[in-house]
Amino acid sequence: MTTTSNLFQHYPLNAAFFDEVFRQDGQVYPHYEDIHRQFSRLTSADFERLNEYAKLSFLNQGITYAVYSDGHKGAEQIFPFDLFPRVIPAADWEMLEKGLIQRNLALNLFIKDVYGERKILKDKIVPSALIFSSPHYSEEMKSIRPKNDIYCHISGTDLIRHSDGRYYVLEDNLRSPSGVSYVLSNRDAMKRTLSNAFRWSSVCSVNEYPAELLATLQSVAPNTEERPTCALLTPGTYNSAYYEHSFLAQTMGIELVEGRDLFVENNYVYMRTIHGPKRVDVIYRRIDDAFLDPLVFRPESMLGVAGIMGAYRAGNITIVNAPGTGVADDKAVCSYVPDMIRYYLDEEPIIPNVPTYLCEREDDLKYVLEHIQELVIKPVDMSGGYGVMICDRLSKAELEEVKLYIQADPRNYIAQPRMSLSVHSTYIEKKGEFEPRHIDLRTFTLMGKERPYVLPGGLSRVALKEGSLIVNSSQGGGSKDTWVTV
Amino acid sequence: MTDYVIEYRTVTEYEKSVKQGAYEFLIIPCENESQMVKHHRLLHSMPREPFTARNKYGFITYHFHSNADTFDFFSVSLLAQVAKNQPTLNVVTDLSLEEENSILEDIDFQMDHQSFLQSTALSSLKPGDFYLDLLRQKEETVGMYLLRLNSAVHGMLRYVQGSTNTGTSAKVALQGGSGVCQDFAHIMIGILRQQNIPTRYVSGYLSLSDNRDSQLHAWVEVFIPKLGWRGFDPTNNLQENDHFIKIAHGRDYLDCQPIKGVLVTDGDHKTSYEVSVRNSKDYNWFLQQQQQQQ
Repeated sequence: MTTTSNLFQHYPLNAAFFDEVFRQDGQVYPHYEDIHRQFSRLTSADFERLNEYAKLSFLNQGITYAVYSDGHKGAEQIFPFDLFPRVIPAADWEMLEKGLIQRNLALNLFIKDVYGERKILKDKIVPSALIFSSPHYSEEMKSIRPKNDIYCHISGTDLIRHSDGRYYVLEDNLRSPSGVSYVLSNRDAMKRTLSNAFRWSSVCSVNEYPAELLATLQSVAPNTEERPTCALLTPGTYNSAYYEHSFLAQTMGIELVEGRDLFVENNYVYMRTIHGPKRVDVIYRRIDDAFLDPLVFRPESMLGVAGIMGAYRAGNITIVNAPGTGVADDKAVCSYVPDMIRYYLDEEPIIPNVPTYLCEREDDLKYVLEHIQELVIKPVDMSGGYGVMICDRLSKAELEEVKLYIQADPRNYIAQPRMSLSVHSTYIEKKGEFEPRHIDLRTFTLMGKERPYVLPGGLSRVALKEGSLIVNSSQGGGSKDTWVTV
Repeated sequence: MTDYVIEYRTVTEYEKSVKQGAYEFLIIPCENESQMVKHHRLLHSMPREPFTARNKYGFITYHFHSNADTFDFFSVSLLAQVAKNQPTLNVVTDLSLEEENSILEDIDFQMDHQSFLQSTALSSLKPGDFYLDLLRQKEETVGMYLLRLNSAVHGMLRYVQGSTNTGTSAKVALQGGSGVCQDFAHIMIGILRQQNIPTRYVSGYLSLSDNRDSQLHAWVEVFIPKLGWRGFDPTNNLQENDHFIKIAHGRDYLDCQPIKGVLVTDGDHKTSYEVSVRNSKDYNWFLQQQQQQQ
């Protein structure tokens, strides 16, 4: 292979994975040529300086997150950032953008159907047992019709690129997908650190996101006569995504509120302000359904607003996303999205799903138990990479244990072939050079009234540990700026 | 046709002041083909007037939300006059067994009635939890079966006030052998839903013939193919009639709780309730007596 500088001197190529930057013959893909040329001119010491500068930029902005795990009570950390941006050519992005809009249109129609006529269940396209056994199914939503029939206004679709070079959908996040603030701050850090880079490449801007989000919220307000008042409801400063909540509220210019700042009177929601109560039309809530209304859901919840579901049912407030959207992002239901696309839109899915085995199905269960070593097992209702078991790394005894778990509660598990996540050149501090690391892509789609919007690019998450496939920030992942070329 | 005067009164005293509280009352009789609320009045001790909202099944709830004012005493009393006209209805149809079964087994029917076919934590029963002859027999029509089951469930528990609480499941009540109206209702629901017969929990007032102090009551409504919903009261082995005044229905007790409250206080509290259901004629006589005494 040919490399021009010591930063790429030992860069290994592995035919088992799709490398985003290098072809197997060591040539750089055309859309990476500019950035690669620039990096090749740098020495290790140069790059180290830039890297330190980028880290400082995050620290100064106070961009941190908290991790929950055994023995650690949410200590704040800096989200690791890699300076080598991921580049997506315009043509690829055009396809992805269409595919994401298609997918989210179908998902919204599906959620509407589940809480309405249930045609797709009556036609036995999706098994009804899957829906009604979901902990995220919300009986409340049967009697509520959200404004403009939009249930999932903000969705985060996770994509991966397999060794065949194709993009696949790994999962949908339809409740409170997080991470978009990192997209914006990564771009910011990138501009501060490598301002020249943006001169050689034309890159789609991501800075419109807050304005697009606000416009999406306003487009679904119940009262269209006046300028609607929107607020972002956070569980509070202890939440792992609190930084994002405050960042989004601030950039949209709306209030950041906690449950205790809101109250319901005569089926309207008000927020307490120093000028007295102010009516709220749209709540972008970043708290789970179970905590929304203590009179309806968990009575001990101090995070929500008593009476908000009554106000919602009366049509006086829009809740974003609607309660009960989680019924469609259950990992078992996710495997039916291609069928939903055909059923509701009469189209073929543009982005395929990662093939999924539902342990609940007898045939699938049999296959999973027999081929467990080749598979990745995931609990259907966990996010953030928690509970994921990559079976070829387990001992025989551990495998037997996993099988017992699955057999005890098959509905709770899905299995997927171990997808070869693509790799991307990533700066490894310890070695002072670039090495390939696995990445995925969380995309963000907004579904407002007649105005779908996909944030160009998204959050490229990178598994910093050598050989690791788990990219979640809670499990030691980092991220990259993602460029969509114009 | 009977005219009733219903009184519902509750008083709660708090050891320490309540700083913030929200209450939801589901106590006012609903309106349907068999009952009409002629007038009603809600008296209370709160500084602000309540507002009404609708719950997920469309029933009217009263909301008391206190934001600024603190209180250590809370009372609500409802006075409602209700006209009720509910003759005991036929539950037997001319449908053949096959026709009935094809309706109950139809996926469209099941999806449309899914809320009242799904088991809940309070009502879930498995065939091992009760004698299998309580299941519908092969040659039995739904109507005949319901009459038999209503009577059988009536005999499954002894009615003992206070033997269970609002969190007691059908299974636990059956094991204990005694219970109150919601336990009878949950058992009937548990047995019927697993046979794909839609069944809903009903809360309401029951007029007792002897004018003694009443209680809030619970019974069930069952969907009979071709006929629709019919009321059964397994606690008293009765079919719904003029004496049953419905407030609301839901999947189980949790959907029909008369009072729900969330409040901020660090002390204990003491709550008392009183319910009376009187025939209007008796009520006028009762008022006259009271006036004469004064």
